[in-house]
Amino acid sequence: MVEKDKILKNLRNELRKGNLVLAVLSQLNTKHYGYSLVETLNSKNLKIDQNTLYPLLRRLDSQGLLTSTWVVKDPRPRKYYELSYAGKEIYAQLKEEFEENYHVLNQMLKEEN
Amino acid sequence: MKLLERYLLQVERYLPLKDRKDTTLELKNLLLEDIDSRITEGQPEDDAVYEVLKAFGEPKKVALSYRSDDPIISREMEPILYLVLKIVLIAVPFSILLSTIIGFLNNGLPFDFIDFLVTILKTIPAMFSAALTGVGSTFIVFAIIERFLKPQFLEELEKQEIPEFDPLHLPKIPDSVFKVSLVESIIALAGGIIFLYIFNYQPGIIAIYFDGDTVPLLNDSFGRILPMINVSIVFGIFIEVIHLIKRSKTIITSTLELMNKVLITIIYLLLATYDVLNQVILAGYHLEVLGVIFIIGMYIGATTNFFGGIYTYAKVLISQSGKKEIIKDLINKQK
Repeated sequence: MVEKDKILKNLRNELRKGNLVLAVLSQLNTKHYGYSLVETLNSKNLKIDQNTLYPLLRRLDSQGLLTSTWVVKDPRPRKYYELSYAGKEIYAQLKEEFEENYHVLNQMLKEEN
Repeated sequence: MKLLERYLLQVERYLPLKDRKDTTLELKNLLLEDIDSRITEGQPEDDAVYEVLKAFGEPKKVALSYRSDDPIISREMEPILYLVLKIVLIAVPFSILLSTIIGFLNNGLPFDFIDFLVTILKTIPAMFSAALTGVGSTFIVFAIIERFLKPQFLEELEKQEIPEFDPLHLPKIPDSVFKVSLVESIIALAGGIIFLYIFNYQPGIIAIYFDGDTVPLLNDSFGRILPMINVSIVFGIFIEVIHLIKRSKTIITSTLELMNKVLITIIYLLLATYDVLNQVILAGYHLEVLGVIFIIGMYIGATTNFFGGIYTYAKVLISQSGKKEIIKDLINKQK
């Protein structure tokens, strides 16, 4: 049983990983800093932990999909992220891919029933 | 908020060097956002900090999630690798030392303590290179395990229970005098290894290069001081390795540092008075002035090293006694 739970957990994580990237990219047409993005995603019912999101943002930034700027304003400095030009292009392609996959998968799962 | 600083210090330890400061600053501000929002909702500050940190998770795990590099030895295997490395680093040099001692005692000659000491000191470079070979071989073995045998190892590892992270158990922030500069430590380590190699294996590099000729500058007197230099360098490397592992100085390592500084001062004085430069060659190239500059340099080195060492140690002691006084005050107040 423990083995089964572990397998389910791993598969769930794998399934979620790509979706999270897409979700994050989808929200970054407008500028966000880490905490505001967590709040936004949570308010849209996408539960994401802060310790997952913050490293993800930096990774996407270092891959050139985002641009980041420090804004020094009270009460404290914040690092804002936004889709870069390359990020916008990649997001559009990923979105298209996701929609296609969703359609195909949906069809398959319906046949199953 | 001290707890937050303690937390960030631990995260920083494992972050990649590139963008380390920036990542830590961003993380600090993001955690503060969360803490502040909880305080605004009426939660006491200490509770808010504790809960935010606990939810964010164990510092090492957090730091590793910021790394995208694929290590040759996986994070799961790292603790075992370190354990084996520690054993190798102690056992390999020690076995060479032991075999040298046994060899010396069985050489059939009457026992001479000075000879014995010199033989031991001369073994130091061999111990050092054996330790390096040991470390390299261990790493290769682990890389092979990682590639071909890993799944079995991981299953064993996963059976071990990982204790739950509690922010209150985070290490304390070291006093500024106890802080270790990563860059300084690495430079000191690299310098120590390079000097150890040059002095023992390539002393000919220290030479006068003129008109295509290379004339060694050091004479046989240098060889007599070399064992002391080796001891001092190995001692220095040992202290820096402890500093790098602990990421903080302690009263013990500071005392060891002072002892090494005294030894270095003696070496400087010996170098200044022992006539280690090849005077005939210096005269041949009309470079007698170089000999004078060398001696003056050695005396300056000895003075700055000695007083610098005492000054640094005094700062450490003052900070220690300052701490004790604070503790005494607290005890008195409680009474």
